[in-house]
Order: sequence, then C-alpha cells, then structure tokens
Amino acid sequence: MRRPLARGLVAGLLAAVVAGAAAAQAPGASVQGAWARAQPNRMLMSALYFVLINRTHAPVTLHRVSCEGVRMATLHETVDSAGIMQMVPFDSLVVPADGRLVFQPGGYHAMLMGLSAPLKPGGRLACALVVGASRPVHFTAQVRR
Amino acid sequence: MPDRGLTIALLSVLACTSGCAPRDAAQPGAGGSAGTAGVSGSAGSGPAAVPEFRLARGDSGTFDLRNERGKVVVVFFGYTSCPDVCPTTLVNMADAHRRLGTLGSRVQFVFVTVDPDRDTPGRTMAYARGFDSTFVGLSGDSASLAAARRQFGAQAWITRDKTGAESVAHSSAVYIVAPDGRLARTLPDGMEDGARTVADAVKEELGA
Repeated sequence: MRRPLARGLVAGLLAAVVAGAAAAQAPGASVQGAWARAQPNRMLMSALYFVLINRTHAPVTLHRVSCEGVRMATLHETVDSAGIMQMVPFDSLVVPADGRLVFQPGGYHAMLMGLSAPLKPGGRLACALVVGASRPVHFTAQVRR
Repeated sequence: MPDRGLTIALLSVLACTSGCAPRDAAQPGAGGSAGTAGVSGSAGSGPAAVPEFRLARGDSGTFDLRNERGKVVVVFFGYTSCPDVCPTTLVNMADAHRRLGTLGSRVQFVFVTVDPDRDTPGRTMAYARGFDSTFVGLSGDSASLAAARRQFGAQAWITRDKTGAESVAHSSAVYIVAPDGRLARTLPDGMEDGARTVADAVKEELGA
C-alpha cells in the first residue's frame, strides 16, 4: 500500500520550493504551492492542493476551505485500501507545531464542487483556509492540468 | 483529531458492508461472465488471461477489445466526477502517450467508467478525450461494466448516504494488455511517476 502522507511530505517540500503559486502569509500559518486541477469537458468540479505550514510552536487546526466561485469545498483524503481508492471526508485536521501538511494528488485534498465556471489551465483561483481561531488565510491557487 | 481514524474505519466498513456486494458483485476471482451482455470469454479464478469486453463508446457504436490486437491497450477504470485519482492518472497516461513518441500509434489508451448512472457513453468519451484526443472513454450498463472489471480483477462500488450524496470507490490500477491480447501487467496505480511507469511498460510489451 502506498503511503500518501509520507510521500507527500517529500514531494511537498519540493513543491514548496519550486512552486510559482502565491504564498499566503498569516500570523500563524501560511500556504505554499497551491494549485487546482484543470478539468476537461466543462466539468464543474475539481481538486485543490497546497502545503499548509504552521509557523507556531503549538498545533493548529484546519477547519475549513473555501474558494471564490465554488459552491462547496470540502476536505478529503484519498485512502488506498489494498488498491481500492476511496475519498474520505474529514471536518478538521491538526497541523503539528512547527510542522506542515501536504495536500497532493492521492492524499489530502480539497474537493471543489459546483464551480461557477470550468477551471482552465493558466487560470487562478482565490481561496481561503480557516485555521485555528485566526483570520482566514487567503491565497491564490494556480490552475493547471 | 482524536476521532479521525475511527471515522475512516467506520466509512471503510460501511463501504464494504453496504456497497461491495449488492451494487456490484465484482470481486477478483468471481468467475466468468457467461450470460452477461457485452462480454464474452471466461475469467476463470482471477483476472482473465486474455480479457475481452465490448462496451459503448460515445462517438461510434461499440469498442471491442479484440479488435485492438496488434496494439498495446492501456486500461483504467474510474469515473468522470472523480476529482483526485482519475484526473491524476489520466494526465499521467496522456504524458505517457507523449513520451512514447512514434510508438504512440501502437497503443490505445482506454478509460472505462465505473459510474454508469452519471457517465453516459458520450460524457465518458468526451471526458477521456479532454486528456488526450486519442483516448477512448467507454460506458455501458452496470452489468456489462462489472463484467468488464472482472476480466481485469478490478473492483468498484458506489454508496449513497442519507442525503443521496454518492461515494465511489474503485481500483486504481492501470492494466496493460499486450498486442496478442494477454493481460500482461497490472500496475498498482498510475499516479506516482505514472507517466514513466506506463510508458516503460508499453515499450516493453512492444519490444521497443
């Protein structure tokens, strides 16, 4: 069985370094390397990926994600059970003290439903995360295939 | 998040108790498909040595796997409303096709839906071709699709919660059918380094 989180930590570190997406700064958390999948055939759904960095010395909790023009954004993890993939929703997720969580294909992701328009490669998507009790962390995700 | 593991465990149990058997009896080793529309041949115990299926394509009638002899066929089962695994795999399949260069004319990539209630043949074909214009997207009735999955040892099931929200679980494997029709390889998934893995597998089956 694959280990999406462990793999994600490595890939996420690379993604955080090379990603051209805007990095959002907030007192306790930041987002790097955010991108959303361009979908073919005018599909009005997608997935959002990013690295959430906790820059405090205490755990913080990710509660919610939202994006402009997206009716519903929910947090999910793709779980691999003996080769069968299933998305499992979750309400919140703890980011360890001085740690990070990597949202990437095959692991944690935000499912975007009810887009007002299909996402096209090269586009941008304005999103926000509610982390702990702080103000939302706003960031821009690049749209790519 | 003290209860997250429990949530996953409960959902997994739910999926297997309410979804695996009734919706789709596809299980590895479930046997042949006699009497099932759209599929001929026998699966024996486990995936068929030489898988066969005929399924509806959105543009022109029927896709018959037997007509692809002489080519390598790369098969993936998914659904068009899938936000994560399916587009990731299909992007990698498209990249694999590009990697193959001129050898690409000797391979056919096939996407087969596991969600026929939502994925008509036309929708499935258009979705597949959105990744690569040479891809084929196939659908059919649920029995035909389940029988096709059995040919490869693939599984899928769909559950709905009280609100009607649908949850789909499916095999993530990518299947490589050799030019002589044999099921030559089952790649565990087409995500991590999938383009290179798929391209290399195709090259080997082509003897290139």
